[in-house]
Amino acid sequence: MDLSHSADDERFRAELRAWLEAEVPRYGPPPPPDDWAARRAYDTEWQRKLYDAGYAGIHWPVEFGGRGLPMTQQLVYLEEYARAGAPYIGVNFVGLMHAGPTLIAEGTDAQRAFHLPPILRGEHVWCQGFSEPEAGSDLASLRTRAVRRGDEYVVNGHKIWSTRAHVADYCELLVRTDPEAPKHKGITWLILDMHQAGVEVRPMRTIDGEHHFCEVFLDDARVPVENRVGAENDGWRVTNVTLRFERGTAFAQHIIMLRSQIRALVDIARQIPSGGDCAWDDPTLRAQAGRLAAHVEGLWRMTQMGVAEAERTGLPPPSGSAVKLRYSELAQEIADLTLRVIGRPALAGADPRALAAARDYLWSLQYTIAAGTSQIQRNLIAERILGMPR
Amino acid sequence: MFGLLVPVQGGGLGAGPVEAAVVLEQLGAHLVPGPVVWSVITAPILPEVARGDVRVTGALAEEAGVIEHAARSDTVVIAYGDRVEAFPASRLRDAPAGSPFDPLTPAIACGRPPTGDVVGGPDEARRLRHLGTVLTAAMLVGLAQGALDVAAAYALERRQFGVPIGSFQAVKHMLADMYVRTELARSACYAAAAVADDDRGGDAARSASTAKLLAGEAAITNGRTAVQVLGGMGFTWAMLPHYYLKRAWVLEQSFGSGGAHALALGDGLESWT
Repeated sequence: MDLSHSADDERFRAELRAWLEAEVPRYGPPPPPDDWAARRAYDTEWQRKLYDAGYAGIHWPVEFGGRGLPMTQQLVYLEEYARAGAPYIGVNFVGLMHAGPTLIAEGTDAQRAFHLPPILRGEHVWCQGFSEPEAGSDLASLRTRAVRRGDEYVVNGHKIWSTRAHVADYCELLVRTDPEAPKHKGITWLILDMHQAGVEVRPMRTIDGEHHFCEVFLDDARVPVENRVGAENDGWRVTNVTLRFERGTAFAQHIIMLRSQIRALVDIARQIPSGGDCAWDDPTLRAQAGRLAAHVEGLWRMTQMGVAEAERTGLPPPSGSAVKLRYSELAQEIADLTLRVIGRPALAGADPRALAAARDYLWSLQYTIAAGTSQIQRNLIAERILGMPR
Repeated sequence: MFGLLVPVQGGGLGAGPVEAAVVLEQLGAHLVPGPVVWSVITAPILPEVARGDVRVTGALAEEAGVIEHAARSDTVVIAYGDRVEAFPASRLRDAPAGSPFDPLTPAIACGRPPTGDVVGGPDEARRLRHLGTVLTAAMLVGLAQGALDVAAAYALERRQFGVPIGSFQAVKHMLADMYVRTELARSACYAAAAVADDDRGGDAARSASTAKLLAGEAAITNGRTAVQVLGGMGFTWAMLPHYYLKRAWVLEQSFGSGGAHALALGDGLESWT
């Protein structure tokens, strides 16, 4: 086993580090959480900077506008990106992490040519239209209906939990095209243009008081047949291509960001007075933080090894569910400890640091629900890896 | 096997920390008794150990109030911060024998260890401490895996309400958590072993502490969970879970407890990049 990085990796790391050290401080702080127009501009303009500097789509194939670098360098990229405190991928997440990779794997040449370059340049924002009010963990029971009329599909239904749909241009949409077929066999994957009559987006206020998620109401929305990805009724297979990204490396950037969250916890603890000293002088707190840091590093090692295995075999390792499960609970444990360190000032929410910690804590509760609840992940591990009966 | 880390020209296997970790993991999974970590790490400085002529046990100086396997060993090695000492195990023979927590790991309480001959300097002390931590973590990973294997096999075989208990989600979720803990600890442990060989892949001390902490948590919690999955039978002496759990506690208390490694990692966080 060789965990040391190659000379290529180290050259890449040095170049990227220099670029980030120059550009990140210059880019300025993010806009207020609920100013979504400004957030879209902030996230997409940063993506354009990455693109111009050659840092968009590190592991995307060269023919689709990427750098074509191995996944190991994608991890180097993520390490440096987190280290520099660079802007979160934000509104570019679905395009770069789900829709783009799905089109690379399953799209037509025309779809790739039209969509991939604007995703890399930060020009098109995507959202996901998978979940429905009656189709959560049981996603394949979705009921949004698409009926083919001539050269287009006419779509009616109700999607929910579409992150950042209120600023999205396109939606990766799962629809039911054959209501008679078994539930996994009547689903189709469509590219929906969000800017049309028949698409209504209603942001939902979540536990943290913000509006990350939306409901999307589809009332005779139109999708040209050429915007279908994969064959009609083959959408579940196409979806699993996408979900594999969610359970594999898509969490890598979140795991590496836990390092930053632990660093933030240390900074906060060093600034909070406690009986003549600061909170960080308490060895119990240092041991708690050290333990969480060990779990973060363990998860990063697991990610590195999973990526190395995927590079070798071409398939993501089965332990993806385990990474997702542990990551999501660990993120909550870190947020919980940070809130405890801040203590009563979090109740007033006047200090920006206390306000951010309270928001982070509440936001972290979604990690064990989104992208397959922790309970579903445990079922998957027990059944698919350990061979327990269904 | 004790010659794992001894160079080939010295009559050993010339293996590195990664290969040693894989071997120790298997010894843990199969509950192999004896002071195997101490034998493997001291063999490069005590050639008679690699040949199997001398049985060696040991302890870190700060953990030397209790010495495992002393009664059946010839030599006891103590790793201080700045040196390594060795003395004949016969010098501990009059310490009272008790009833050990792990039936397969007899240990004696000896208070302060007697002064011995210096057999290594600061570098050797550091090497023993570091490799001992990584290889103890490897044994703990094996224990965590062994406990999971026993629990999973039982969940498939044991039937209640007409079905295998492994079909119940409450049992599945316990097993899934055992799997997650094991994989997390194994990744950290292999990484620590790789870094022990070549520190371009990370900070060696931090990687070792990470591995030891995660492996200790995995082995103890999995041992305890295996008792629960096997139910009443898991509480008996006749079944395997108690051996896994008890051995996990022995190794948790060697080469730094999880709490000690957590504090070391916490103290290093201010310079964490």
